Amino acid sequence: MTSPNNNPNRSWTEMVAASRQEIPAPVDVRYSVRAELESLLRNPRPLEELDWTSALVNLFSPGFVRLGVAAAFLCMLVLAGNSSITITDTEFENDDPLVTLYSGEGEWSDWL
Amino acid sequence: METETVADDELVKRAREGDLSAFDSLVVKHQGMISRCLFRFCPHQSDLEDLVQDTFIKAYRKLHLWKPTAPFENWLRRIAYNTGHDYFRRSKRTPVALASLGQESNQLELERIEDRTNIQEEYQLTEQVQQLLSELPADDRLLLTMHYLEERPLAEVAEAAGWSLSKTKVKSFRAKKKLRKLLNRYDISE
Repeated sequence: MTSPNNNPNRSWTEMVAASRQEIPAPVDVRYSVRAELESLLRNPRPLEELDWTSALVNLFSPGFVRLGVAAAFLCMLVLAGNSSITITDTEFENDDPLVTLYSGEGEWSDWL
Repeated sequence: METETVADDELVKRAREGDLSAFDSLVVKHQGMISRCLFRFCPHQSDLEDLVQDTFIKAYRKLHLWKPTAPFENWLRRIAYNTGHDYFRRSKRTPVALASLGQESNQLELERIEDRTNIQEEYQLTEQVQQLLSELPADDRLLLTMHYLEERPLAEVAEAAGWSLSKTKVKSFRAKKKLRKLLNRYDISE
């Protein structure tokens, strides 16, 4: 490697310290920024572009997840409060014709 | 020159009213600082210019959100770090071509780095540092770039990334652990 910066025995700390000495060449982006802004103003887009992928990812952010869990818990409580189970008495005591027929004060031998 | 005498908040006010030359003045005033911030993320000149340009375009689109309670420069720098973070997320992880820094050298890999048209010889260390960091996830890369290379405090990293300070501290600890493993893998001492 021809670079004088190459030193196979350089430690990470030394690399980082030496890289801090590297300073970028001056940049001048005013013309390209201006051109881009003029194009934006000619063809206005919404300030916050709708990005459905970001929106989808945001749905899984901790805030939304907490909100979703809280909403689900609330729904569970509401449903639990409103639900009731009616147990129908299926054992006939008075409506069964056989019971009715044979209830009374008769002797049990009468049934035989 | 106008930019030396007119304060940022005045230029922002005019830019918000549609005065593009006021925004030009802001670009001229702050592009050096922004390019120095983003250089740590990407030392390639053409990509760097793109990132700087993106930062100013984002700043223009969010100009209505800036409040004069904080310096404009700080707000702009945060947008720059966000832009750098996005750049890391978009960049694919590349196999580390740092064999020259380890015990063995891989001449083909070294030539691949040297052949990159936009890399200048004097930026190769920054490039090599970023090559190593490119093996880490984007969040860790952002943290190490801002905290290690840019020497920004963790509070600023937290603000730039949108994390809480405690989360940033935990992430910092984990990122350093991952970096240590990476350095061990390539036989680079700390």
